[in-house]
Amino acid sequence: MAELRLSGVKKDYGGHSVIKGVDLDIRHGEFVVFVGPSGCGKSTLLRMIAGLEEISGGTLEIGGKRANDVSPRDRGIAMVFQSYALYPHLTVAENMGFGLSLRKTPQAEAAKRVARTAEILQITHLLDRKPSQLSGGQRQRVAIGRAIVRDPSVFLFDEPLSNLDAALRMDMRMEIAKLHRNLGATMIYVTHDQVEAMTLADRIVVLNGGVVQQVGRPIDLFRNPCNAFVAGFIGSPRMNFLPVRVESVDAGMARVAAPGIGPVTVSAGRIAAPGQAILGVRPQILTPGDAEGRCLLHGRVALLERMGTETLVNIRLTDGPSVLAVVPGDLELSPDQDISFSFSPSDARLFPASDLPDPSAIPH
Amino acid sequence: MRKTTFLGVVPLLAPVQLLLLVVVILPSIYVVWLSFHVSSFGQAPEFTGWSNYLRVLSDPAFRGAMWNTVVIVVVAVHLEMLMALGMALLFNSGIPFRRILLVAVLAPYAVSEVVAVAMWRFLFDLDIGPITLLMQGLGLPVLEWSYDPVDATVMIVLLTIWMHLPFTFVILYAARLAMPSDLYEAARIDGATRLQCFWRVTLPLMGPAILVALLFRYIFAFRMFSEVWLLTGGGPARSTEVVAVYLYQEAFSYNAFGTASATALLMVAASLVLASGYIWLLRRQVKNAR
Repeated sequence: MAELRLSGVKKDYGGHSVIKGVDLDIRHGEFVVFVGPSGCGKSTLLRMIAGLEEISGGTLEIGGKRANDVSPRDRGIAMVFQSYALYPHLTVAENMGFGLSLRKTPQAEAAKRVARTAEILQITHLLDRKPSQLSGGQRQRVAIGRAIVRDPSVFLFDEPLSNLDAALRMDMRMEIAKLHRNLGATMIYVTHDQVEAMTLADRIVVLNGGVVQQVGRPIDLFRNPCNAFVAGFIGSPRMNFLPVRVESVDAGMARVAAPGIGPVTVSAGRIAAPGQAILGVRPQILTPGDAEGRCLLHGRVALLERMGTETLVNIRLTDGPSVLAVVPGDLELSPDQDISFSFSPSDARLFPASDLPDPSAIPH
Repeated sequence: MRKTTFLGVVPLLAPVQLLLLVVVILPSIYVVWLSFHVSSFGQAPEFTGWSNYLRVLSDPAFRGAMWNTVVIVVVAVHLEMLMALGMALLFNSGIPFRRILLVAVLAPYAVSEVVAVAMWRFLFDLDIGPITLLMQGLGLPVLEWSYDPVDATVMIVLLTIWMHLPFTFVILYAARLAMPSDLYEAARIDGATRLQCFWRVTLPLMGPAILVALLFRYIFAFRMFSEVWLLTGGGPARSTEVVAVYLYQEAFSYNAFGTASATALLMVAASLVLASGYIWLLRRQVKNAR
């Protein structure tokens, strides 16, 4: 069994705190994705689980045993690196069998395991090649193969797809999902790509500044983000954030308004008193035109991106910020055209203004 | 675009070609010619065929010099390689005061050979040398290099290692620095101990650099002259003579330019044999690494 338990795990580099106390339980066979902007500590956290970084505080348990001071080779983990980290002087077969040969696994047994893994990953024809003779996607398969051969209880992936082109990334994403289904092993996967996180994860851990923001199923994070950071990070394109004023709060509902918006009544969320707040509106809930009970936004088309299946409209509101709307189908608009969009208040989310001290800091 | 023709380019290359012709090619041809003649001051060169080569090869002094050269080259170059490798790995593992130590290690390379030998002669002087006195003070045996042939050889080996260690070290250190750290992380996760990392990752990947360094050092060491000539002059009693010193003696002590030229060409031949072996190994290594 390979469940992991992190309790109060911390990492300091000479007084500078990178991971500020992470508590997390990962069940056996679960696919957990760490996601967050660069520098949020997700890779560091993964490397601490791998044993490549020392744990400054708290405890890490693997399979119920404290693993803080266990060396990487005794943790029962395998890791796939962003750079693949294949041994350039060894063939594909030797790369995959490296860990087995270090453990003095009988040669026949090792060869069998390498062959079986190569078959799963469809790289049998590459076994005699050197890494330099492989394409990026093939190298990635070998790196994954090297991990599978060792039959670890926990797989760690450190941004494994970020060096691949878009089409290949999608293929490999599906392969990894399939692999997880077939192997049933615990997998921890680090990425800054929220699409990878949404599609692969059983549960997503959103990190920012070394602090866990929210843990949950992808769809729960999408529907009920606990704060504006998570709301901005999960979902693509990013959620629109509109500064508003809360006029009154009553029975879990808040009445908010801003120049050009409302007044409109939305779910209060964490807001308890009148004051400044942020209204989160996903681009997909904005539709052209107006209807009864919807909240109207007026503006001009600033930028139009026609994808065929959907149209991205960047609208500069008459009274302030820009918002992005994603409309299904093709929409013929011309730049600078006057336009009205509306959304249903029940689809909008309200966040305290303190969630976004600097709204431009959210990536995407 | 202006078209460059062969004739248009020749004038631009000419100065370098002329220089090469004057200082390398013509003298080389002259040496080959000389090696088949008996020649000395005040005497017209006289053709003798291969007899210069036969004389040199059958001269016990040449064979002694060749033997000394081989011993010094083999011992010094390999010892130096081991030290440089150890130091490169030590520096890479993150020692304190790395920058200052780096300067200290590289410094001997900035010292002229003549100055270096003069310094060592003083340091190891049998009467007043600070190192001799220190060794005596510690009750350790003293290097009696000015009259004991073995001690003199040891001294030459130490001196040549000290002088050329920076060269080997720099090549190996650069090679080690160029190796990505994630390979080691992958190896650690694959279960390699530090020793296994060294044997199965570091050494194979540094192989080409080690071979290049060895190749250069073999060739440099093979034509070693100043260390021996300035330290012992080949003595006592020609016992520490190396091939280059033998050549110098033939040419400028005995004025036998024919045999000296033959010696020089024999050295070239020996170097080529050495070099070709290493280059063959190197090509295979590089091909494997690819």
